[in-house]
Amino acid sequence: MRPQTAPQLKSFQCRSCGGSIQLRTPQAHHVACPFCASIVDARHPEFLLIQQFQGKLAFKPLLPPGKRVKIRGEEYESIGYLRRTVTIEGTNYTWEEYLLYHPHRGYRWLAQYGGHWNYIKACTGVPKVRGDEAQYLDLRFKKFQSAEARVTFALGEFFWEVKRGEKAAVVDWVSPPYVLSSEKTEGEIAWSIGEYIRPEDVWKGFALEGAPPGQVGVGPSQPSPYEAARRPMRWTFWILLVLLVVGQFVFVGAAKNGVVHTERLAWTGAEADRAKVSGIFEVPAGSSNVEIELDAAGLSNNWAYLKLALIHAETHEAYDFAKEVSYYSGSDSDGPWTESELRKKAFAPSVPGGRYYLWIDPEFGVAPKPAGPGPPGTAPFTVSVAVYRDVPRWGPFFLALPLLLFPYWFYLWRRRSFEYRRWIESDYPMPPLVKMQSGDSDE
Amino acid sequence: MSKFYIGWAALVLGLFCAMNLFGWTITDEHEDHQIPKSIRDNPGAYRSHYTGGK
Repeated sequence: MRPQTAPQLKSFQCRSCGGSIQLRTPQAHHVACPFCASIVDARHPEFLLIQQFQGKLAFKPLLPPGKRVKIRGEEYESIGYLRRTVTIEGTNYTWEEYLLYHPHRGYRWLAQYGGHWNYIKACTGVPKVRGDEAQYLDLRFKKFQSAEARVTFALGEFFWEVKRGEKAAVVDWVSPPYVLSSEKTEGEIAWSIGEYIRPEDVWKGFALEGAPPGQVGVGPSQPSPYEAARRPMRWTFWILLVLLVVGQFVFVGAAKNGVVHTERLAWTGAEADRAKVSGIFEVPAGSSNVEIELDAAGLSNNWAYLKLALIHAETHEAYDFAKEVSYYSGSDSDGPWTESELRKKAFAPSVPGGRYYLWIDPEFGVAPKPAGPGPPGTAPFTVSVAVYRDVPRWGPFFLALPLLLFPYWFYLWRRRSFEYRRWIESDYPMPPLVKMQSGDSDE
Repeated sequence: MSKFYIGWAALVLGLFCAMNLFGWTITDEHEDHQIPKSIRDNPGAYRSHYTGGK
């Protein structure tokens, strides 16, 4: 529906500059002259000059006043422009408000700060406030910021008594893409609710050429681009985690983990520099893994470097390994001590079935004495071997787990980083994830 | 994002299954190769590619 033109709208001359002012709404209370920005009482029979503007018209509104616009499919007329400023810790922060009017729908605002726009209307009820939370309709808002705002510039007409320097205690609550605001002036609290609107939509609504100004940071009510993926990502993560855990238990449960050979190989002192082979044993058919457990004995303040090979008796294919075992003991002021590393495992991830034997060639830190110290027939150094087929593996699980975690962690980090940048401008900034050494903080 | 995640997860889970089914590993501590037939009769003749202790 197009705005209807009021039939008896007034036109008068500005008391300050003499410029012709045409009223656009019958409810106009105060008018800021579009030529000199002086404020005139539009309801006074003599159009009384309320406030004269002494400076130059330094601010050019991004959106031209007096224009018919279409926002979210609704037509309005742009009738007023305000600049409002808050001072926080000595720094001024200024935003713009554009007053829109439709004879049936009433008033709307477009507010712009840092290239972020909100399409605002008055609340139809009073929101409930509890601590740092507010509830309006079915929306819950978190307190974002409170400050004293003052009008620093005005152009066009307004349905209230606007004055430069006029102050109001402004509190904003956010629940993206919505922002709830209260403005407290003497004896009155006005509530409004705004919804984030893309700058491109504002530009299109005002039929402006070119592109809107770039955005700075994250707007208080700017919808997070990561929010839509929140539930799908969370569900995907948990489903994948369950799949991985179940899969791991299936593979562990299916593993046969059978002993296919045990043997003890012994080296007397005279044989210390010789390689030995085990008896031939059968590795069951298949292509799963083989694990060889080594349990050495007979070392005393010595180490042994075991070169080891699992060799196929027919094809002569060899799987080479090397393991070091050691045993040290002594006594000091704290009493006797031992350092023992006598058990080791060698693992071949995929071994075809067939007849195999083990080849072991030890190398010692200190060569064993030719005659062993033990009873007759006792070897000074022994290695007990146990060969297992198809042992359960946890390596693939612990490799896959961080790979599955990483994308979800990265998503959470990006989402939190976005919220961090939103709240850094508020009275309640989020703690940074990483504290910089200089004392500055960043994500 | 979630579509990328699902695609990535399919690759990871596929790799996980392949590692379990085919014995794939990323830490190859062993080397397999052909050796002469006579090693069983003369173990000292074999020279493992691993050399030296401490």
